[in-house]
Amino acid sequence: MKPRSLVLAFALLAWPALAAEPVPGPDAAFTPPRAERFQLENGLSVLVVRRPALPLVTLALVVPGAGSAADPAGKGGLAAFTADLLDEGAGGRGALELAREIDGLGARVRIITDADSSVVLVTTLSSTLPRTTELLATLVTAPAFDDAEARRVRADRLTQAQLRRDRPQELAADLLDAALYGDRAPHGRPVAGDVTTIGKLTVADARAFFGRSWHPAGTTLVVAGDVEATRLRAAVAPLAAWKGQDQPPPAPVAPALATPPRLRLVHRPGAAQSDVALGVASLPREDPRFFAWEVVLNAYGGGFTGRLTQRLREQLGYLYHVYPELHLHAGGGRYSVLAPLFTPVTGEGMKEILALAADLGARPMSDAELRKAKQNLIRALPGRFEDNTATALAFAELVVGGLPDDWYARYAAAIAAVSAADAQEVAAQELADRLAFVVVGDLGKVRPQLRALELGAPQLFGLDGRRR
Amino acid sequence: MRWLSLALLLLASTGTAARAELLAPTEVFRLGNGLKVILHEDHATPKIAVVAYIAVGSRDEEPGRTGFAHLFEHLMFKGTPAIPDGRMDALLEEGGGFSTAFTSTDQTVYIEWATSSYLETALWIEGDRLTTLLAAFDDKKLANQRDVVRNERRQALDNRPYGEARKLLGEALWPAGHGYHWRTIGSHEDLVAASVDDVKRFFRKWYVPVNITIVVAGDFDRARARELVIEHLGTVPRAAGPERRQIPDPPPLAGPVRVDATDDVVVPRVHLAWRGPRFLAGDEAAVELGAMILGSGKASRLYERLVYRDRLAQDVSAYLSSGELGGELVAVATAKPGVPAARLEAAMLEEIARLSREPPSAEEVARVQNLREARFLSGLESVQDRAVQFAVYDRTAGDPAFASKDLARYRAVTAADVGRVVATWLAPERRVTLVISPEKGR
Repeated sequence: MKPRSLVLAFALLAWPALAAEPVPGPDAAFTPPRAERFQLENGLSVLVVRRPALPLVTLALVVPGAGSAADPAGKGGLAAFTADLLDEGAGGRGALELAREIDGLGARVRIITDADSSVVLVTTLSSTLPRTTELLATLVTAPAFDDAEARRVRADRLTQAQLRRDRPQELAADLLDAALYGDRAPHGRPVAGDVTTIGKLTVADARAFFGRSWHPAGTTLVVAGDVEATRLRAAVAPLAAWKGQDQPPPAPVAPALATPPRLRLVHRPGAAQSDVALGVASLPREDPRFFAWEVVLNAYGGGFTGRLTQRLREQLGYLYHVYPELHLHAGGGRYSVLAPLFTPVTGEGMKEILALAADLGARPMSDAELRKAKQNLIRALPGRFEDNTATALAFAELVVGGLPDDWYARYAAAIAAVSAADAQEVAAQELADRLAFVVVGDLGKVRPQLRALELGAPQLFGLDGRRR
Repeated sequence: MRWLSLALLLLASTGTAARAELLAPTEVFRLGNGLKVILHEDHATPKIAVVAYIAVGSRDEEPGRTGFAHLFEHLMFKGTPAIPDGRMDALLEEGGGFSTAFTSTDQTVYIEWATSSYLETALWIEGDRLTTLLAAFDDKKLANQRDVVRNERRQALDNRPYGEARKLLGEALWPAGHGYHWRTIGSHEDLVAASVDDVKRFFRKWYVPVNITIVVAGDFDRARARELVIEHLGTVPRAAGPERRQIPDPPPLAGPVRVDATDDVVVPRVHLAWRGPRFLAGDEAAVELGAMILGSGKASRLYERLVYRDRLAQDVSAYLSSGELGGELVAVATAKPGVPAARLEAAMLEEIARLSREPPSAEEVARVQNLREARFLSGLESVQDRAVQFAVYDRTAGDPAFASKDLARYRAVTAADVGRVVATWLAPERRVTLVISPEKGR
């Protein structure tokens, strides 16, 4: 039955401007920030984006290839484990001494690993920048890889994996990636590894992984904040001492599965809500349809006015919020949404989710909906560069994706050029009928609700993440 | 000594480098209807933000209506006669922006932002809903947002492992009837009981101009902004200021309080909590820094003892959350498998006692001062975050330009101050211990 309510739902977006509504003037011109580039003698690239508003700086040391896609077989979690060890001792300082030093600089160090890369993300005061970059250089030039620390960190990471059953949303997300890419594929395995692999990782493994995957020649340091290029050159000079092996080959990237399992279930007795993770493989940025895809995803799940929120929350009251995420890597990516649905309406909610996706592929969006999605993407762009960390990560994404530094400068025009037909076409090809779901909830109540959804035979998993 | 001089140097240079104009408003005035207006001009990004701060929070709720201030906040987004339900958000998102809000024990804050050309749109929306909200209000909207809020509660509490912790701590720290006894999200029963009449009375009592501060921040022309504010907000009808219930300081806890709960979890989690100083009170900065020394990050006392050295905890943190009536000072640790909660608690108390007996080093204090300052400045990077900060300072400190004084009071804290306040405020005999343990049979 064609849901008539969908037509009503989006009529609101098609209201003509009402009598009292002010008419905004022309948009202010906006040019995305430009990055200056230079290279150190060891091949390390430095990208600088000057933002002098506050006396703060964010540094992102981006190491493509040092991600979990490069974990050897049977050593799932090695990339993340290696990254975790880098601030547990370096340059003759132990873990706690390093932590005190970092705090004293007003700095914060996080090392983030995903399938494609590791990033050492540092935020600091601009007054302590030279000492901070010196410390960062120490982490990569003289990591301790101490055996005792490694055992401690490994034990903590193993416990974290065991406690994942108390993090059902994370479990749902992990099982979704596994569904989309394949349970053993580079992008389908959990980044942190699992309880069968973490316990076997050794400090020698980490040292070897660091040696072959962390190297200055393929690495970019993105710096955003109260900094200018001349003084920065002096500050980053200690990083030139980082010697690495020759650049390794790029990490394997297996594409998403052509026909992923569409329904995975995990029983969590008594759950008041079902933690539902849904997603599809994403087009890569290089695809000419990418901008139409961005528009579709914005209309589907973006902001508060995306279809998912308007229908599931504002009309039906089935949930509080949805949490969309687009993760891109070379050659592809994954779009996913977390939708915590009230248990008794889990099936109904999923039916709506599917119908909204199907509709985007079946009919072109109205002018009003298309305009809203496009203008949202274009006009929200300046806000992405309002804080140092978001700016640094925006450029880090380009680095990992192998895209030119001026990609954002061309973004607005590319979005503006998207037509309703473009959007419908890419939705039909990439979204409708392709969503995969993971449901972590009280299966006694929920399973009967799912029978009518025609997602094929469900795969059952335990809270430990293992197939039943 | 090297650390001390370095630390002082850092703090001094940060003081001059922090751009003074970012921490202070451009203009402050009051409209004829009593509404306070703060303008903050900043052309760094082509964006504007409009913030409306209402001096009402969950502490002002009536018995049997917990969660109401927050539920009401949701209703402010459901449209007016001139702005159909959904149109407000559609407009601002088409403008590259967003519309959101938060409710706490003491305040409700609405935050809109969008591209600069949408200044008038944002002000029109704010003025219209402050004036005409009730005319388009009905039971269907209430029923819908009640469902949404109940889902919010399920997500944050009912369905989250250890999710009941803050609720149980609040109930133990503050006596029944005290505005902080219940949590802002309220209870399912009370949310179900809320009626359309309750909504109308609440709006008429609390959402009056003299109880509101508006901040307009970002890329605008000052004169034009003033004109638009007067045009769209000046017509909100003047009304008497609400009488806020006076809540006396509760008597101190008679002795340590113990609360035990279970949940579907693998390992126990131990929470130690105390009442803390009010926001901006004399001891507040020192207590907050003390909490950071105890539990903020890998260099903290509790981390070193519980996670690193003795391997008792999987994670640990400590924080102070302060409101206008008082604060909550909490240390929380998740046990490693096989570690009994009692052992974890004993170790936590030992570390706290040690900090009470021997003041921290000057270096330790300088570290957390730097850390806090960096964190504070990071929280001001976006124009909407700054707008919220000005409103909060206006209403709580009586001075929208309080930021530089706020920074100064943290810089002024000494090691002796920290030692003294830890001994005063973290007395073991006035603590609440909450242990959430795995359900039997797990």
